[in-house]
Amino acid sequence: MKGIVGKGLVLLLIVIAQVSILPRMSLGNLQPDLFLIAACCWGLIKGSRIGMGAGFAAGLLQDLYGTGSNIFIKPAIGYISGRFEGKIFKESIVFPPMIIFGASIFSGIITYLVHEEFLFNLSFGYALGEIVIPGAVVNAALTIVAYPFLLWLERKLEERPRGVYH
Amino acid sequence: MRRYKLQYWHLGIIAIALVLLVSWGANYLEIPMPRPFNFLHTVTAPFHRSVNWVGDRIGNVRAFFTQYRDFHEDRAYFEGRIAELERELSHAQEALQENQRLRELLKFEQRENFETLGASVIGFGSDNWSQTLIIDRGRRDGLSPRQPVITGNGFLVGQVQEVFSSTARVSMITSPGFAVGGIVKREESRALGMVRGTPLEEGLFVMDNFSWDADVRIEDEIITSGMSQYFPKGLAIGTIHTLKEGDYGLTQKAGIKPFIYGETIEEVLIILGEWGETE
Repeated sequence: MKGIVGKGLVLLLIVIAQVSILPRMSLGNLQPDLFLIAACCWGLIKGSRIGMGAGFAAGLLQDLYGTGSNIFIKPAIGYISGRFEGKIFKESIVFPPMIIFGASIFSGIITYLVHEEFLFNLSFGYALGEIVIPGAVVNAALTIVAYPFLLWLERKLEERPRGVYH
Repeated sequence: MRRYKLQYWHLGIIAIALVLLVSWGANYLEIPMPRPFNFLHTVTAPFHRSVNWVGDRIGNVRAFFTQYRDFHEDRAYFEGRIAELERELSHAQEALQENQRLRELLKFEQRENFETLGASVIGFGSDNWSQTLIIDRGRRDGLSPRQPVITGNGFLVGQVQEVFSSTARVSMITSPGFAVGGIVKREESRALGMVRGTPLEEGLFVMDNFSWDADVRIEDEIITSGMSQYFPKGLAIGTIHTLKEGDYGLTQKAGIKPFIYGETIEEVLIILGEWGETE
């Protein structure tokens, strides 16, 4: 229960940061996809099931303000990154950014392909070179900070109160 | 024989397939879909308003310390500028009266003033794809989809895309898929074309469908043509920065620099109701 409430609060903070704060701070039109980073990190930390659930919630919230395909892309990303849980060292700061870079490319290409306004108005080269790859680099860079924070938060939430034994 | 065991990812794929099937089906058959999670927009709106309020205050305090010296220089400049503009206003009022007299003589219909509603920008699109704004006006303020949105000085920002209870999402003119009829403002030209949100080089977007012999020049100002029922005539869009041949020389294609820049927009006006034709 604590885990769900904790994730809910983190997602609420992400909504506020993504919609109201980051666009005013971003470089040009580029901003990191905090929803993708969160879904991916939770998948890596907690596994496929939690990753998919968190991805669904993140996608649902993001679609209220965005393109409308995240509700099925983010659960897939959460699930796929969850498959790496237990296969990589959890304290690693090398693999999570690499996985999130790949997930961002995957997410960007699927977004481009399923939206006709992008498919017919942007060339694939432009979308890849100006939006997808720069966005993936920004996401991977931010993961270096976000992943250890989410890992620390999950461990804090999992800690049992002192003096309580089952 | 191996027994089938249902796994979480199977359920996920089935759910995604169902969502896709239902949404594409509803879109194809033009059936309006209920949006059960739209209330989240209303729930999160106060947080966005608060963050903007705090951001504005921090910006003001920072500006006071960092731009104190500039304020004095600006004040002297603006005092001179106000005097200059007052003189121009006096001439403009004379011209307006003359224009009204001539319109009456020629039996032209009066240009209608737009009925507008002010709104604050409380957020932006949540990804790098869509160029959208979130404003703090919604259904209960009388907003409906497709209403034009402008800045205080009349620059076209975009169009209301989706309306929620107390907020709305505005698709900006620089959004891929956005299209509006444009016309060259210069009296000798008045060439017509189609302004699209399709990006060209850095910061420019496309205006195409100019005829091959249209009198179009670099630095020409583009305004809305008024040919679409969704945008009134005369809203400023941008200026032409590049010009080249399109469709193998059959048309001309321009690169437009918009007057607006997304992240700097803080307040907008939504044009409500109907607008009349001038002639």
